Amino acid sequence: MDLALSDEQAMFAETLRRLLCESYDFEHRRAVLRAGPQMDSALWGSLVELGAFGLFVSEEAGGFGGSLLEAGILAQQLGTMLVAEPVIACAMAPARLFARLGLEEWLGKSLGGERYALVDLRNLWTGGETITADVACVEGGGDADLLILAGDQSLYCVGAADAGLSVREIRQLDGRSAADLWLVGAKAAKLASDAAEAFALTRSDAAIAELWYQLGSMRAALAGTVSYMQERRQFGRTLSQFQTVQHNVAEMAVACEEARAAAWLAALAFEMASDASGRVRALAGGKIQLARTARIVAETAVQLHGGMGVCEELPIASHYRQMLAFRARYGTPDAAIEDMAEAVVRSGRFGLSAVLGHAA
Amino acid sequence: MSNLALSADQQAFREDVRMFLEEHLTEELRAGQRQVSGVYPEPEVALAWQAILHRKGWAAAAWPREYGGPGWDGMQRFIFETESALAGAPVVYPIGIRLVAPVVMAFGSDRQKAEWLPRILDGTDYWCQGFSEPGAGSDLASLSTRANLDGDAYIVNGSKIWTTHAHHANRVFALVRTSDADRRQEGITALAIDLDTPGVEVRPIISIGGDHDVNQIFFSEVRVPVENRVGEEGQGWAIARYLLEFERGTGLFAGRLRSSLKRIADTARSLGRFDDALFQRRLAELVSEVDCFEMLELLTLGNVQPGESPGPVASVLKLRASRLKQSISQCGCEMLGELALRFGAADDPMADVLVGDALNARAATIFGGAKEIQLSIIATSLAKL
Repeated sequence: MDLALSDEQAMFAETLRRLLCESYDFEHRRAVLRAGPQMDSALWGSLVELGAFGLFVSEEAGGFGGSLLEAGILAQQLGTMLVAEPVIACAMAPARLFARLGLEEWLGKSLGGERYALVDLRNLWTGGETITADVACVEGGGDADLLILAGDQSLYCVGAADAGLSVREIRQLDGRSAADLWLVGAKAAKLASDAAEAFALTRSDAAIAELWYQLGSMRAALAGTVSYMQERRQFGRTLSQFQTVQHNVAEMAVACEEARAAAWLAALAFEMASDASGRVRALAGGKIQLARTARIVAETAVQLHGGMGVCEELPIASHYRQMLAFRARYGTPDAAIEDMAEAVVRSGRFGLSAVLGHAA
Repeated sequence: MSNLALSADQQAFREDVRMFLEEHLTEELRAGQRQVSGVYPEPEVALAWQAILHRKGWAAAAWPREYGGPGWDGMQRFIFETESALAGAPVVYPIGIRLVAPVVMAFGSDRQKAEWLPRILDGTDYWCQGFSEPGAGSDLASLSTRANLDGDAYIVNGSKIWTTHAHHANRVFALVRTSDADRRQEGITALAIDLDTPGVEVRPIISIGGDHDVNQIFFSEVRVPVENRVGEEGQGWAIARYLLEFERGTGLFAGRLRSSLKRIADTARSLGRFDDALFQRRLAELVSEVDCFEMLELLTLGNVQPGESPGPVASVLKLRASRLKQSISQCGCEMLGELALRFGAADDPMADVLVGDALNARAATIFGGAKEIQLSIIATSLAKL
């Protein structure tokens, strides 16, 4: 039982934090979003140069990390600054998918900065040499090769430059780069058969990383709120001197502590789960708790900022939009509750400790 | 590399604990815990279990070896408390073992340690805690129960209220005022008072759930030997803070919260209500909260050395544990639906237990540090507002 970051992990987090502070502060982010739906390739390039994506896979696979905790550390730093680049969707997920399927060459390209967007089209396309389908709102889909899971359970690739692929770039609710895709006779190259399980596990990996992204956002919102409460004066005193403000900030701090625990538990328990129920308990449990606590933090942060919380001058409103987006991505909290009821309540497994008893 | 895996030693310890529970935890004792709707089990149940634990040397999980504790580290305590709770073992009555004893170890005289600690450990003495007064609740420093020195004894006059299990106890750990210092805290002193001393009267207070758990104690010219003072005169406030910090830092509640969920689920099954989809959804949400809370306890525990204070996160744990207890007990009451209306005359005694629990659980955010106080502490010490 070991529950602390190593020195290397802490150092890596600090390096990332500095990089993002220097190259992706709120002003920069605002400018990027205002410029249009295109990605900010400068940040992507910096992360590649740093070798950051190697964090997503193990040493055996050619990286230097591989655990969900480490992916979470990166995601948390991204969330702190509300990075709109599709790192989790288009760097982490593809790398882990390629590693799982043993596609070494593709993994090398991914770690080297090539972007891929995962798309589950089992309901729309059974597989084959060409594909015709419409897909809406794919994160990172505007400037990425597509990795498509087909109805034949195989994984295919459609190149970003393929003549049969047109995209309309958009930004999601919280600013994340995305695109609507139209595939008309696009050329599909088969990469692997029997890819459904790897694909599903990879999507779960990404969902867990998003828990950590949300955690980063929450802590930034709390820090911003504490700062603002200590500056803003009304009625002859700082807002921090009012008891109701103190209690509301305390509720945010409590929520952040719980969110941290939930993110840690999800990352560690998911990897150590011995069966599907254990994975559901970890992932769905994390989703439910991060959604609950994130809502407390985001709503309270906006409220305490008064007028400044409901305009776009400060990051606070962006943190709120991110919280809503978090709830909508990779399954809603309601869906997670259903999953939890099915896998953990009905079976009676909830009677077992969530932290003891994981096999070494 | 961070992970949740138990070491071979920890795994072996866990097996030992499970075997012990299987061998010694009777169905009668489990039933005794299952039927608790107040804050602690009845003394017959708790003391019977404590005696069994004591024979094994496990009655005081957090005591250092020199005083008769098992010398466990944080993980062993976590494993023991979790397995005990999940097996349905009675809660060991904590006032003597977990509150008074650490204070005696830290502030008591050698004589007090030598005489009082063994009697706490083997259950001979049953303590209650006399802090709150009718005029001094959250504002504990305003307490006014008076102790005036008269030769070799203090003469105590005043009253303590909300004293849990005073009607079962033979000793009360009381905070009294021995002087009127400018700073109110400086005039407070800790006294151990025997409840059979002339002038002591214990009056029951019936709780919102209809239980007799708490009392008001009246002191009228009660003589307390000076040897019963713990620490120095005026040291009572420091002692109170130590006690509260200690309690906040060492209490482990996740296992208990989980076993109360199990209790609700089991009752639902026996009433044919377990398959209700809405009930299962509510239970699922609570399970994820308890899982998260269990991890928070584990993360906090892991950072604390024996005897060390866990810092401001402990207030978060206390607040969350009390709110979770309330949410869980509310779920139990709602599961009963219209059966809750028969409270006091239920066909199934467990229905009365669950409704009583839902009522009495309101005290969880009031006693032991009201949530408003906890939030203020958290704002300054954790959020650094």
